[in-house]
Amino acid sequence: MSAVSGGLNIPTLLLVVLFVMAAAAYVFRAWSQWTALVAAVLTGGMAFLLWRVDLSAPIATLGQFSVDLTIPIQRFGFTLQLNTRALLPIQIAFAMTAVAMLLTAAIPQGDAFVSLALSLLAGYSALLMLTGAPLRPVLVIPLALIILTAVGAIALQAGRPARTGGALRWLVPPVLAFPLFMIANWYAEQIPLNPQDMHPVQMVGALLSLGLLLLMAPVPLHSGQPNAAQIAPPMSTALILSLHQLVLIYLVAETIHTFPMVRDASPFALWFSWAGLVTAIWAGLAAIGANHPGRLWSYTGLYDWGLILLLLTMSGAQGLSLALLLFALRIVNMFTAALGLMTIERHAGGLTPPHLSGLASRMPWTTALFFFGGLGLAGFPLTAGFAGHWAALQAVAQSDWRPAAIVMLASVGIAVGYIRLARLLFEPLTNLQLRRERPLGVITAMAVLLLSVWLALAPQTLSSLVGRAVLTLAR
Amino acid sequence: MTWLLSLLNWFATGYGVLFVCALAGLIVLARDWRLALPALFIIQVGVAANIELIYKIPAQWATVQTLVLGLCCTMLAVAAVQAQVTQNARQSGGWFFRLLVMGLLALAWRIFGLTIWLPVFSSQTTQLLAWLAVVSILLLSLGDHSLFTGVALLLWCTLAQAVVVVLAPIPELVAFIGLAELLLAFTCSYLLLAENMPAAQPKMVLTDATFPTNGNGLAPVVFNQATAPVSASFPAGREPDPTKRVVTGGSQ
Repeated sequence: MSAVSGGLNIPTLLLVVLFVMAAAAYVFRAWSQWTALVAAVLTGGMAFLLWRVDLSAPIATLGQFSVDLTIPIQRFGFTLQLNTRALLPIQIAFAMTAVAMLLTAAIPQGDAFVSLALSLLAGYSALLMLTGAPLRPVLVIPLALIILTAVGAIALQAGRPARTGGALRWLVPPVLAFPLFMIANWYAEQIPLNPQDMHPVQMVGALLSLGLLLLMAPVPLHSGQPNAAQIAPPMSTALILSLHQLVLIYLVAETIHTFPMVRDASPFALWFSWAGLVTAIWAGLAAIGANHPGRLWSYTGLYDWGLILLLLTMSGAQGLSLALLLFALRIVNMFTAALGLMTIERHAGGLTPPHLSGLASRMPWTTALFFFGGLGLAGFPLTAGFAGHWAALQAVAQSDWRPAAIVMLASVGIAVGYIRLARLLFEPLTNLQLRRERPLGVITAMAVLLLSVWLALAPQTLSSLVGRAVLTLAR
Repeated sequence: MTWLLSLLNWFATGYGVLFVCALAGLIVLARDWRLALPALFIIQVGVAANIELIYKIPAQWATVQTLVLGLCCTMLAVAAVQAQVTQNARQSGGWFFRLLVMGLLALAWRIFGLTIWLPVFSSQTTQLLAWLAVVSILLLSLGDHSLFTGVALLLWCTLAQAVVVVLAPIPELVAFIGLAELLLAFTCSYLLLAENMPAAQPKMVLTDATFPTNGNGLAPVVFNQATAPVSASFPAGREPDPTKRVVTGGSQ
C-alpha cells in the first residue's frame, strides 16, 4: 500500500538542480572539461528520466511514495507545470544540452560556457513549463526571451576579445517584439466587450503576427547569427541557437492555438512566406562570398530557417509536421557541423583562411564532419537534411511552384560557398606543424557521419518523434 | 520638494514633451556617452512623469522605473570609463551625416503624414513614444557599438514600459521589464569591456636574445651602486686581465 506524498514538485526540482549545477560549474570553471563531463552525465540522466515520464498516468510510484508529476508551482503570479504540450520540447532541450556538454568535455568552449548553458537550459525549460502568468503565457514569453538572449549574448562572446556585433544584434529582436505582444493583450481584452467588432480581432492577429515575425529574426534581423558564428565557440553557437529556436517554434504553435485569429484573420501566412523566401534567397547569396567557415555554416542554417518559416505558413498538420521534421534534422546537422568546426579550431588555432589552408589533408574526417553537417542544412543528397528538404520543397510546390524553385536556386549559392571553402581546405598544406586527427576524434567523426548517413537513408527514424510533437502541438 | 514636483509637472506640458524629443535627437547627433547616458536618464524621468501625471499610474512604479534606469546608466558609464570609450568610437559618419538622416526622417514623417495610433494614449503622448521608437531604431542602425546599442535598447524599453503600465498595469510585469533592463545593461557593459579588452600577449621568457637593452626601446637594467656587481666597478675598456693575478695587499 503506497502512502500519498504528492510533495515532489517537478518544475522546482528541475530548476533548482540546474541552477545549482550552473553555480557549481561557475565556481569550478577552471576545470571546465570536468564540469562539462559532470553536466553531461546529469543532464543526460535528466533527459532519460524525462523521456520515461508518462503524463497520461501522472502519479508515479517511488517505493512507498506516490508522486504527482504534474503538481504546479506558483510564484509572483507565474505558474510552472510539467504538461503534455511542453514535455517533448523539454526532453529535446535536455538531450541537446547533454550532447553539447559531452562534446565540450573533449574540447572546451570557454570557461563559463557550461554554467551559462545550464542557466539557459533552466530558463528555456521554465518558459516551456509556463502555464499561468499575469497575462496569457504566450504574451509573456517574449519578455522572458529578452532575459535569456541577454544571457545567451554573454555566452556567445565567451570572453573573447573580439568584435561584439554578433552578440549585440542577438539582443535586438526580442526587445523590438515584446511591446507588440503587450498591445495585442489590450486588444484581446476588448474582444469580449464587443464581439461584433472585427477591428480588435484583426489588430490582435496583426500585432501577434508581426511580433512573431520579429522574434523569428528573418532577413534583415538575421545578422546576429552569422556575426556570432564567426566569433563565438561553435558548440556555443549551435546550442544557444537551437535552444532559442526550439522555444520559438513552440511559441508560434502555442500562439496560433491560443489566438486562432493569428492564422485566420491576419497576414501571418503572407508575411511569414515572404520573410522565409527572402531569408533563403539572401542566405544563398551571402554564402557565395563567405570566407569564414563559421559564417558559411551560419548562412546555411539561415537558408534552412527560411524554409522552416515557409512551412509554418501551411495550414493543417502537414506544414507543422514538415517544419518539425526539418527542425529535428536541423539540430542533428547543426551539432555535426559544430563538432567539425570546434575540432578544426582547436587543431588549427583559428578559422581564418591562413589557418585553414590545406587542412583537409591532415584532418579529412573532421573536414567531412563539417561538410556533411553544413550541406545537410542545405538538404544535399546523402546528408541528414536531404529527405526533409525534399519533402518540404515538394509540399511547397504543391501550392505554388515558384517559391520552391527560388529556394532551390538559392541552394546553388550555398553550394558555391562550400566549393570555395573546399578549394581552400584541399590546397597544398602551408602549416606543416598541424597535427593529424587523433584516433578518438576519427572514431567520433565516423560515428556521427554514420548517423548522418543513416538519417539520410532512413528519415522515418524520426517519424515517431515528429508525430508525437504534431499530436501535442497541433491539437 | 515643490520645485521638483513643478519640474516633473513641466514634463507633462507641450514644452516638456518637446524637450524630451530634442534630448533623444541629441543622443543621435552627439553620439557621446557622456551626453547619451544622462540624456537617457532625463528621458526616462520625463516619460515616467508624463505617464504618471496624465494616466494616473502609481508614483511608486514611476520611481522604481527611474531608479532601475539610473542603475542601468551607471553600469554603462562605469564600463565606458573602464573601457576608455572615445567619442569617435565606431560611428557611422559624422554629426552632419546623422543630422541629415534625422532631417530626412522628420521630413518623410511630415510629407507622408504618418499617423500612429495607440489605444488609450493621447495624440501628444503617442507622438512622443513614436519619436523615441524612431530614435531607438536609428541608434541601432547607425553602428554596432556596445554602449550605444545598450542606450538604444534601454530607450526602447523606456517607451515599452510606458505602454505596459498604461495598457496592462500589472506590478509583476513592471518588475519583469525592470529585470530585463538590468540584464540588458549588464550584457552591454560586459560586451563593451570584452571588445576593448587587450588581447592576451604570450608571456616573454627572459633569455639572452630577449634581455632588455636601450636599443630595443625597453627600460635598461640599472644597477644600484651599493649592490653593483664587481665587474661593474671597472671602467669601460679596462676590464681585468684574467691572466694576471690580482694583488690584494696580503703575502702570497
